[in-house]
Amino acid sequence: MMPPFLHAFPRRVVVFNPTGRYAARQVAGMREAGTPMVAGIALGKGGGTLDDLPLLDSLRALEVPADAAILYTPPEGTGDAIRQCAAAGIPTIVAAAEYVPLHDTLRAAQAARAAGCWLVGPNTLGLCVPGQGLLGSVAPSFCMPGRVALLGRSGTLTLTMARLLTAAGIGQRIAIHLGGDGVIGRNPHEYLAGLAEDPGTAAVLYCGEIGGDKEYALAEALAAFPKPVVATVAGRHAPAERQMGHAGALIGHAREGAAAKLDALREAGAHVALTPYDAIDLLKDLLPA
Amino acid sequence: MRLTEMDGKALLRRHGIAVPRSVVLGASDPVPLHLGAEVVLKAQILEGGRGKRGLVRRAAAADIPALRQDMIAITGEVSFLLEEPVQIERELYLALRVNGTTQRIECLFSTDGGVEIEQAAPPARWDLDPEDPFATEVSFAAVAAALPPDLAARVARLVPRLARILREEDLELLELNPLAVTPAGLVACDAKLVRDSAAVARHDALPVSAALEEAALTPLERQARQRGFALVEMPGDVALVSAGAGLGMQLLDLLADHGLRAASFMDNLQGGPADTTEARLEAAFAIAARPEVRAILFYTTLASRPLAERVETLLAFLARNPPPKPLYLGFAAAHAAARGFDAEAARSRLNAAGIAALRDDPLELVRALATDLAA
Repeated sequence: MMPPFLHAFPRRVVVFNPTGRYAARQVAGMREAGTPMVAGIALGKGGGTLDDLPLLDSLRALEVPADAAILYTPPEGTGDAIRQCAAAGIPTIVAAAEYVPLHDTLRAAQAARAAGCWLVGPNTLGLCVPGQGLLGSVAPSFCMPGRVALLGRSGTLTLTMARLLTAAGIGQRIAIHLGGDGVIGRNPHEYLAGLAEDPGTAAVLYCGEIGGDKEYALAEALAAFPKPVVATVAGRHAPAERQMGHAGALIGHAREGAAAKLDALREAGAHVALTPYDAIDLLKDLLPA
Repeated sequence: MRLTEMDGKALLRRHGIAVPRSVVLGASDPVPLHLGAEVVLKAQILEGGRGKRGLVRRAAAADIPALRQDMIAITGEVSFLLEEPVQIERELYLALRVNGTTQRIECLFSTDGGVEIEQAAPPARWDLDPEDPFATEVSFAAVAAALPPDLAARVARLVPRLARILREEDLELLELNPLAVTPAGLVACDAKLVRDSAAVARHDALPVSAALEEAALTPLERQARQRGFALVEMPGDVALVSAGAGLGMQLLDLLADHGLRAASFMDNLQGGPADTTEARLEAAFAIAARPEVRAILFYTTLASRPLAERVETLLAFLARNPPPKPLYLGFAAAHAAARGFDAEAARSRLNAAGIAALRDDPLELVRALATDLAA
């Protein structure tokens, strides 16, 4: 399945809970980046506006269906908000909140999947398709159009990587923060099928991290992927048994450490880079002139 | 959040899962006699391997006070679980967890109960939907090859009940090891439960488990939690002020690639205030005051939070608190963060305050730090 935002950037975006201080800043950033926003969903504020963006009490009040939703709903309401969007058949759903309870996400991610929706997050800065639009806060000024699909498990590292790529003259097809939780809407390997078909993608840069086993599923999927993949895993020197920020970033077994993951990715055919700088050097060699 | 055995078993008992009869004992509580002449004393700590450390002992009730003192000598003052011994015919292993990659509840079963599962043969694994009316049959099919049919059926009937507990109690992991086969049925003799920390507020407080988790932290880590951010202290020579898990780990890796070790790692914490820069700097300066720590590294990427606010916070803090070791500073600010106050403005503002080492590239910053320390 092709992630819908790769096929065509959304044209009718709704934003849930846009009026908080953090969310309002993101909404302003998205509109500045040219993201076509049609309404904000803010219970109790229906009929009002946020910088000319009409506010509705409920998604049900939206007259023409949205093709993307970005959620700044607080963690305890995020699961329900995702399920509302799934029930409405919104193809792209981006859930920003960190600290969404795991079982809420599990249920919501299953619902989104069953409805054929593509959920990014929770715990995500979203995605930027340089030159086209922004869903979330992957800073467009850090990005530039190009042919590398950047997939990151960490928000700050995705931002940093996009900025370093741009500084090195390597543009991005997309820069996407997949989400830092143990359960996220779509796992890294699920992006490969769409990126394989996407004519705008020449190579993939995957920035993983310690904890969990998503990199093993990615490694398994690499055999069928026809384009070069460069992979890094942050936390090569992280101590075991300590949670390093993200809910998922904890080395419980050697298999969850960076060395084991990098080995698996290397064996599967990925070009493994220890640092972002090594990744850039590899990409320079791999990208068609 | 890891639950102690006593909290885990109390939770299971509440849901009707069989666990041994027991009482919770403090360090000096009298030993009750209603559990029988022989009992099992178990120290309530979070680490595994209690048996090997002498922290799980079967003994005559009369000997319990002395045994308890022996255990306190090893663990310090903790709570104890005093249990009625169980007549074990066979020990099984059964665990349920959330598999983030398959987005399913995953069950693991082995007939090698009672030992560390990593040392046993690979367990049987299957996914379970607690809403599936045939969840029992699915589980039966997964364990039938390893057990006689009547026992396989008993295990299979237990699994969907546990899956519902996993969900209702917001658990990431529910591990019964051993799950004992007894004349009275299946009994969970030991239980490791891990609750999703994002969902802790939905449930009653578990003071013993919470206190043990807190006791495992260093004083500075504890203070950081109270001030709304997560701190991990490590043996190292550079006090790192980081924000964001991935970037923080990347900085830690870059330092290590230059022969240096981060003495700290920082990230946001649930319920913390929007900005904890000052509290993070305080913690880093406290770490940097130690003789083995040689420098402070502060690096942050700002997507939309205003750069000006961050710089002013930093300058105000530095005016009151001179850094105990050389401070290496880096910022990368996106357009939205630098509106009206860009990197150049930040640089000149910081330069005017006497801070020269300012880079927007993390590698350059780490290199500068490493070069200076090597000189």
